[in-house]
Amino acid sequence: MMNRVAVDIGGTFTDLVIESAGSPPRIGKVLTTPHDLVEGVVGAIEAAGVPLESTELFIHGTTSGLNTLLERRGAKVALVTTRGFRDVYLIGRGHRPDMYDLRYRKPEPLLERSDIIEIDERLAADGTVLTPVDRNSVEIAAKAIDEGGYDAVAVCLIHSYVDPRHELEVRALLDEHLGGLPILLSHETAPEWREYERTSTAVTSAYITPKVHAYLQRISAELQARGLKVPLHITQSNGGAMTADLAADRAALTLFSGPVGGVVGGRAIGRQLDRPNLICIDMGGTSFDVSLVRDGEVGLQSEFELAGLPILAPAVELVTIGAGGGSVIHEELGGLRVGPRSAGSTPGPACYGHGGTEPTVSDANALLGRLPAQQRLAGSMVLDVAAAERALENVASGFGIGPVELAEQALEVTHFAMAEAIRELTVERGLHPRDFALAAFGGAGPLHAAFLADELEIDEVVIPAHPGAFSAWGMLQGDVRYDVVTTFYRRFEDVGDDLAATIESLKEKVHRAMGSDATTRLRFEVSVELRYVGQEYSLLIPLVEQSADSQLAGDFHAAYLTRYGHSNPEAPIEFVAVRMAGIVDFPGEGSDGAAMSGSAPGVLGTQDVVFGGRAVATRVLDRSAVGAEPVEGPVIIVEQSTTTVVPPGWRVDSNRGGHLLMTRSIGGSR
Amino acid sequence: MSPANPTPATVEVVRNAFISGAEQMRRNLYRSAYSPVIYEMKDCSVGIYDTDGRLLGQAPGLPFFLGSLGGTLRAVIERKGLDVFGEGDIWLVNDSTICGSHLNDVTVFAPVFIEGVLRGFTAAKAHWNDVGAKEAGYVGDSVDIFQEGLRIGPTRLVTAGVLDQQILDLIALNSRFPTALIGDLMAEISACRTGVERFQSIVARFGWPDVEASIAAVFAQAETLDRESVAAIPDGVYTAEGHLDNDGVLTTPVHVRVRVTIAGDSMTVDLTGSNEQCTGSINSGIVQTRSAIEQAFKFLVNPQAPVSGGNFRNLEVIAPSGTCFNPSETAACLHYGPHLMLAMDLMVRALSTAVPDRAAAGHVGDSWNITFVGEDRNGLFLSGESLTGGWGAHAGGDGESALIHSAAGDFKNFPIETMEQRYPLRLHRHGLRDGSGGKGRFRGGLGIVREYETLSPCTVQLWFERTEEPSWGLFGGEAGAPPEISVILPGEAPVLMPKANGLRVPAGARILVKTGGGGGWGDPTERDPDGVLRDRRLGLAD
Repeated sequence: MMNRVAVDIGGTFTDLVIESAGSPPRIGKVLTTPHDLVEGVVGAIEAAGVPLESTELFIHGTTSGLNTLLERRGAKVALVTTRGFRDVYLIGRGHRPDMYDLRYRKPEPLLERSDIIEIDERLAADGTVLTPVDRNSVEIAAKAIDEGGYDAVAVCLIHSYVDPRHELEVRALLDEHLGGLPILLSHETAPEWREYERTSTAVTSAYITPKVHAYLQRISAELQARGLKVPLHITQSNGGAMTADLAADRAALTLFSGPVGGVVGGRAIGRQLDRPNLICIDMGGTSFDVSLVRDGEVGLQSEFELAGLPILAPAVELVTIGAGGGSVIHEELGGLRVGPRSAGSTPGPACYGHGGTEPTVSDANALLGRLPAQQRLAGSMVLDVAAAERALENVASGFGIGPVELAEQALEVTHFAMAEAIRELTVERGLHPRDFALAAFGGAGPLHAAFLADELEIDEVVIPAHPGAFSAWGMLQGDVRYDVVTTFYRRFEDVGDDLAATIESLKEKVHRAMGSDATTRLRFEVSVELRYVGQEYSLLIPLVEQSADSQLAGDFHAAYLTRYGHSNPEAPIEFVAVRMAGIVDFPGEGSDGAAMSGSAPGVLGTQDVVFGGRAVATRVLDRSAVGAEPVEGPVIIVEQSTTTVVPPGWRVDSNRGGHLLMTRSIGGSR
Repeated sequence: MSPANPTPATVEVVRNAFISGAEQMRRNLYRSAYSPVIYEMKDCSVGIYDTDGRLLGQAPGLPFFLGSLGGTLRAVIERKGLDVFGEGDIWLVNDSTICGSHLNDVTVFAPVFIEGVLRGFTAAKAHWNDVGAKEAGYVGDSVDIFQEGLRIGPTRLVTAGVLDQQILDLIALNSRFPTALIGDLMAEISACRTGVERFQSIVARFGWPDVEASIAAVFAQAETLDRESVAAIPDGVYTAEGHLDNDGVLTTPVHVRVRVTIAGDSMTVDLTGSNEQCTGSINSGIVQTRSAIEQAFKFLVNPQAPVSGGNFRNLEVIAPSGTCFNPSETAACLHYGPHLMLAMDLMVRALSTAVPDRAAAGHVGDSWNITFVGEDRNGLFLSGESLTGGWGAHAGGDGESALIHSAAGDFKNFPIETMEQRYPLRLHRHGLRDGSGGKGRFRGGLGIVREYETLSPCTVQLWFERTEEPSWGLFGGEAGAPPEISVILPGEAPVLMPKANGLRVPAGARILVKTGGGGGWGDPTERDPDGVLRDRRLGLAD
């Protein structure tokens, strides 16, 4: 029997999911091994007894690139650039986001001025050669790099996105002197205009490449040694997978490799349950992430920032706010504030009993009875409700209210902040949350989901099966994908045959890059970035025909109207870029059965839970006790690593795929 | 009906809802605007206000506009009363005597009605590239407001949802760039409507009595914070003065004098003794003058806290009429910023002895504009930039290099590749200006060097201030290097030219711009030797 395996490395646990056709997925969980992450992966494989010989897909979300960047443990990088533009990377865009701060500092760059070397060459904006590459200046650069003890080189030349010839020539020359050193070319990491952002992307890539490369080589070798016969696949920031070989050369595409599994999983749930429009929320101890699945597709962004540094690379669009179980409830100048400060894991929320004295969102949930005593926190911790109450009492007295009242009010503030994050992705684009179902995961997501749904007038909430390893499960529900883009700056009416030719060349690029993944099942999705002439921000419009026809123009005007509430069908349009995704479905079949096995006792107990200021006697159920027959709220459902609150006026059943589906009861409250 | 007594949660949610409503307006404006001056340079601001023009939530793109929208609304209400406003109306106004800024900054606002009752306004202010001034681009030598473009008094453009096409046509007809103008206006209208919807949804949820009471509570929180912070500054009178090179028409300097009085928990900023109204366009209406002083107050008083109508209640601003800070109705106002930025910087300098830990040495004190206007295949083009420079050092460290001036915030510079794709221009150099930071125990930030070449004949406008009195040092620190601009016509020697209006140049002209550095802080001999060595190694200073 063939199987498919995914491994996701989290801060605390390394999760493994193994699927084979016709049977429920199995989950393995071991402690993450920070000193050497591969050890944890191997441990999870051994613990779960995965027969790697019969594995037809092995997929992995790596945090290697992201951690290397955030912890600043990357390579020593040299940057080679056009004469006259040495400081582009250091200057950045010159803005002051903290506009009232007299001491504002720009984000710390990944290299310093002495690491930047100018060479003589220059292209004009249309690709004309103004100054050919001067061999001598490149040789001087090579010597400096050789003597400087660098680990990697980034090359970013002005206008290389129009014509890569100079960057290619420079690499060839550098290679002669620096054989073996990774050389990242800006037009390959991001063939888009705007020299600072493209340089930043190339430098960041060079900075993380050696570490990512070494990690992927090691894990691939370990898996092969244990019998894996297929190439290891890595989840990319865009939610698709690519081979580890390709990922090693495209490290910048893996920066969100870890977090996107949940979003891809959300999309899969949407397909299983026939809910093409989903708002996915992932809430843990410190942060709350929102992403969107619309018409069955994950929302992507083409650019993002990490530690203040811009990266031009497709990534699942996430809105993150600092709201989690550890967010501190406090008073500031007579106002009630929740977060963004977090109690972290030490001392953590007061209810953890580790000496925390400041009340947190988790403490509010504990005092309101929404974290039942049967719920073991992080494995074995016993909930200290009395400590939570004391902590809340300290703050509540300042407002002249009781701790229970404060707990409910603090959650109201939190739910509003979360709802605002969701509105940013929906209402602001002319979408209404009402038209979506809410998928909640992460340790704390299911605790808050129903209240958030009330806030946003959403009628359905899905709590996925295997919430404890949801990200790993999600990775298996994706596909192999490779995104390419090219700047395509033309007036709409001037496009002619250029568009079709550009699409053909992008297809070739995808074929070359995907290598063995580019099977006969490869399909393409093409979209174009359009805007009104003179604007900066563009809209991404799917391309149906390969021409700039009236249908495409109509699609653009309509999308603009939806997004901004006005449009101008008379105004001229221009192209900015063409984007393409090459997609291949994963081999084999996934599992389809319900995830839940084992027969825990159904009703674990009854306890008072506060809803709307009233304590209501509420049953506590083990998740396995919820079946196809709807259970009316109020009820609390516990399982390993998460708790689901079903308030009065909501009901819940367990549906296809073992997912919990919460809906508003007829006559339910709003 | 019992008096409203909102819960702490309601107060907090209402507070955040108005702020995020304004954020939503801002994102809407940025993304649908036509002109780079809005979407990249963020020369705009949006906010939500009550019927007294008091701020409920703002999202400033240009911090300089911090208080100007509320001031503009109050000035309009003073003239028109509240009865003229109807549901679904949209108004606009740009007259400098009402808005305080130049005519290019056009304020669009919408009344907010809830169950038939006027409860507030939403407003957006944004810079339009051309409103029909005597020349395209950034006129540097205007002597009255009539040379600066179309004056629009408070005008209803949309009545109950219906746009008055005749007014729109009239305005568009007066611009050299009518398409961009209409696009930017529509973006502002859209932003205002977004704000109206958010305002209404907030009230629909909590009811007006609770919202009103929450607003009062939020204002009280902000006021307390401001008063506590000012009270921590030692009482006294603190003064500073300085000057600009000239007003673009006369050759004499423009004097600015700032006298800050701290008495208990209140601050008074008196501009008496500053220059008379300028012949050139260095003049600002009182609304913009007050807005700039509020921004400088914000630099020194709780810079991290959000702003609301409860702020600045302990701040008094005195700007005698007839000065450049409160000129006549017909004064030229196109360069309404330089003397305000200088006044802001002088406020920081004046208080630096009282609260050194909140202060910084002199920083980029001007907008440093370079504008090219000409014809290309798409017709008339205009490339306008405001260049970055060095910020002042402070007790905590060196000043930052290549950062936009104090009046602007989330402004982004113009990418070289975008500029060269769009306009017949080429950049030969874009880098830090070595050695331009003022020496000190902590070094001032560096200015930049940019070298342009014109690829077709065009007109150049240059406005670079503070060449005579550059960014000063404090506590023994030295001043930063002054800006230095030279124009090099083909085959000719460079000519120093900090200001130029409508300079016609052929293809192949080069303009070499060096912007100023920030001031240093403390005795240069006390600089940490590692810092000296590092600066030398990296070539940042000698």
